[in-house]
Amino acid sequence: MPEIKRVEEIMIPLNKYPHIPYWFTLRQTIAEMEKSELDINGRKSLPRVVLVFDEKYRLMGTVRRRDIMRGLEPEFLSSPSQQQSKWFNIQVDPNLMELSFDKVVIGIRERAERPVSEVMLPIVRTIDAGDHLMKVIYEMVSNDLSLVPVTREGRVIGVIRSVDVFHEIATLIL
Amino acid sequence: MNWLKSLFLSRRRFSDELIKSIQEKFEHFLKILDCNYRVLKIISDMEEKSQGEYLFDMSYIQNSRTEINEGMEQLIAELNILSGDRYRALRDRYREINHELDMLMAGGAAIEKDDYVVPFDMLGRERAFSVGSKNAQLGELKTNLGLPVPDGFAISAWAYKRFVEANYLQEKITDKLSRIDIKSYSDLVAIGNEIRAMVMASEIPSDLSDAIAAAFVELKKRNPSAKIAMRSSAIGEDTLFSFAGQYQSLLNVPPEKALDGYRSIIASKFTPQAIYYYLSHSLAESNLAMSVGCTVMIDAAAAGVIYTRDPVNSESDTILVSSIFGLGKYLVDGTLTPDTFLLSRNDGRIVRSQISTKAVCLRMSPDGGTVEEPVPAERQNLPSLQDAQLKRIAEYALKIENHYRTPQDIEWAIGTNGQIYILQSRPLQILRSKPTTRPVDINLFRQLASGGMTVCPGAGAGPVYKASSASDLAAVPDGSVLMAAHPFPGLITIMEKVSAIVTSVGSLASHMATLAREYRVPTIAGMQNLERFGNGDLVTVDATECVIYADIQNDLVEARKPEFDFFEDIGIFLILRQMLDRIAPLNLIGRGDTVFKPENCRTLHDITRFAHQKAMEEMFSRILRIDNQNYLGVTLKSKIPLKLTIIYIDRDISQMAPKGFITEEQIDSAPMRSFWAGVMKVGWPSAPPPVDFKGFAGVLGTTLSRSEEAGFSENSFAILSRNYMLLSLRMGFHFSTIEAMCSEEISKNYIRMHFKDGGASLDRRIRRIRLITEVLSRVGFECHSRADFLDTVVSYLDCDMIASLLYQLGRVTILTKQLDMALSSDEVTLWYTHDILKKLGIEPQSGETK
Repeated sequence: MPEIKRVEEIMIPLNKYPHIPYWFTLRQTIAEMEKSELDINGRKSLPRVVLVFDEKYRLMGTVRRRDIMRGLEPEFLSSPSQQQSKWFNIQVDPNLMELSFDKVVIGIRERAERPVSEVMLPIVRTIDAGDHLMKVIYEMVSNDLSLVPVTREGRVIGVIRSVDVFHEIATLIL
Repeated sequence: MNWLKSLFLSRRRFSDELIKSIQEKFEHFLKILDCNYRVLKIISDMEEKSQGEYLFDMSYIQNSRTEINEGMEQLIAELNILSGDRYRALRDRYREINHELDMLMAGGAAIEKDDYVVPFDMLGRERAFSVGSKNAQLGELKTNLGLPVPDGFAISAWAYKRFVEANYLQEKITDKLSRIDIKSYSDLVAIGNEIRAMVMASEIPSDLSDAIAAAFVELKKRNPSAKIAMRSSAIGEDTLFSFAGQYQSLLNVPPEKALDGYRSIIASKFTPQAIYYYLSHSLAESNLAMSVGCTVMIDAAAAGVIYTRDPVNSESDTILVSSIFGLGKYLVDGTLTPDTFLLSRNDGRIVRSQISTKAVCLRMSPDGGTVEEPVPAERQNLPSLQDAQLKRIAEYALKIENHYRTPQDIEWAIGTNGQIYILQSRPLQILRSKPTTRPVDINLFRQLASGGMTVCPGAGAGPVYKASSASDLAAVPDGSVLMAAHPFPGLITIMEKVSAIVTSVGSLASHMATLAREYRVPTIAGMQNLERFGNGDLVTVDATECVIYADIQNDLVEARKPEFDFFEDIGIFLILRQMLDRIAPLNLIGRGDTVFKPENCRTLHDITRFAHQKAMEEMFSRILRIDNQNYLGVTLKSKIPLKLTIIYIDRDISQMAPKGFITEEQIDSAPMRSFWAGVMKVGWPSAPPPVDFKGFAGVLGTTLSRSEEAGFSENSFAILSRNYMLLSLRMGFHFSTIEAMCSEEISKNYIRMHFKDGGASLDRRIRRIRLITEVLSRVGFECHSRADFLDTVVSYLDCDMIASLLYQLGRVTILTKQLDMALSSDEVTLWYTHDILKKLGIEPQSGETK
């Protein structure tokens, strides 16, 4: 019976994982995602999440692809977040965008210059390097996370992704 | 309230005094900068010359060195004034490097103490400055390559010094030489004779004569039946300047004549041709000490010269062997036309051989000296070398070339017992000339003679002047075509005068041939039937094709003018390049006391760099104490949220900033204005972080240690005058120092930036340095980087150019602020490089892809 692994055995060390300062733009964040191919034990992938740090190199948050896409959406399409729900919630037909595609592209380019700090998500959970794989699964499932920062003695030392956790489970089961 | 007032006044007095002392220091600091850039300017001029597109001569090198030395001396002196003599070690290091440079000039160094005589077994090439290259290389071949070399010993340069000093010769010689007009052959002869007579009449001090005699006896004891040869091995000979055949060799010297032989070889420094050689190369005679080699003579059945490349046609992949019967002297002095063999360098195959008629040969005479003997008629046209011997010699030659990593000119001999010996090896000087592309219709010209071989390509035209001995040379008219039956000593003295040389005997391998190539005189050797020409006949010699045409054919001369790769192949170019190796490269790259030590300075450039750095530290370390900043500084009020303290060193700005700050518009330091404009153009790249996210700020994601985290600071400062800026920027964990001078005097202007640190892991920091290096190089900076440190500089630009580069630097500084964090892969780095270049309005270079 193989032993279940600890977080530090599965995590990606911080220096191998893409991260950016919070004032970087969405455009730079996109470049980061598109140009940083991760190679984890021969399995290659593009990062779905980028870590965001402050100038003193403290972890502030994460940004996912869909956060970026949300940040690029024209104002009139964006659905209000829970915190700022409006009195009348009218769903806009996205087909409207076809009406003036050029303008939309220009708009996207403009919005791509927004700082990533406007769309990033706060860190809700971290996990300790010595923790058990099952604890990671629990945190990911209960908080709907695909990536959790790994700490040791209060410092971020890496990240653990759901895809790697899943791969670990697969080797156990298959 | 009086106590408050007095406190204020005492503070004020303190700051006035401080400013005054800083201003005094600043004067020295500016002098250091001035010396620094004066020296660097000469260095870059020398580097430009070394690229081979400009003409220069030995006196250029000497003058440049003098100017550099003046600048360096002053630089080090000023630094020691500024620092209270803290950098005396730098002066020592400078002297050591300078000594190495002296050693590179032909014999330019003081003669080092050594034994009077040194056996070959104890010599290697590193002893060339003590025993001359010829002796040192023989030792090298014997001890390090195990090649057969005749037994022998060297009489050192130290012995020469003893001889000259014991007889008070130097002053008298220098005085006599200073009176020579080198264009006058009769001067060369007359004064040369006087000096030679003086040398021959001088006593050899007894300690020296005893040492020579004892070494002779020892050599004889080891080789009872051997005869001894004495050969010159001057310091500086055969290295950067060939001195081919300029000095004497004495063959078969009996022991009782050894001391006379020694004097006679020293006297040969003062033959007309030798004097001409060193004076025309601007070499100081006093630096050319004479060492002598004493070797067992090889009673040669055959002897000759091997060139490991064809000196005229460097493209061809061949070895050239020249060979005659008997001793090799008749080959190198041009008495005989030798057999020549061309061998393939790849497989030793004989590609071509040309056997000449060798009617006589030179042999050792039983009672000392040498004697010319006839070669039996049936042997005169036989090859002087067997195929197997040829192959063996070629193997040795390639082994030697491989050892020295440069083509060689090797003298060899085969004893009557069949044993091969290497007698001498020196670098072969090769002409690298491009074939001319200008066509010329030679059918238009009347051909008078043809044949022989190209010694030095090109064409020359003029009246024929026939010479048979040195006594004819005084009357050689300028621009004439010199014709001689065979080369003879002294020909060198007219090489800068004549337009071409033709001899009926001789070869590529004679000393005259080496010199003709060195002086670039179109020369043919081995052309028959020169009797048909009379003095004054107008001819054009096509040495490239070995033809002589009637009349002056300027078109042909022009068409045959070889496009030499200037200096690629001659000593002066080599000397400059070798010197630059010890002058120009920058090795002090990095920061901190581990890098900036005098002993780490390997070149003069390192020393100037060291001095600049230390001067900056000396100058500003006092200012930068926090309490001083409070007294002296004002803050900059700007939209950019960067805490910047400004200190003016050329004036009191308290009037300008009564409230302790100045605005961006008030900056009147030219370099700072330009830099700050660049910063403003990009703007501070961040909004303040959203409040919601502060909660998680306790988690650090850096690889830095706790103590390194303490280095995080946002406190930057600028030390300014109207033309000068020293800016120390701290942005997060990264730290850069930008220094700039922007004045009306182009020669004083420069920008220098160091860049170091960062919060990210080393690989990301290195990527950022690579990115900045790439970007700044494209902007126009010269960048030196090592790991995550960058040292970049521009100098000698006008004010507008400096301003525009500072503007770009300001932009790059902000664009790369904490960028290291994001550089997780090379591909991302490339993307940012292009992105930043695009923002700066610089096109990516062709071939670069996104």
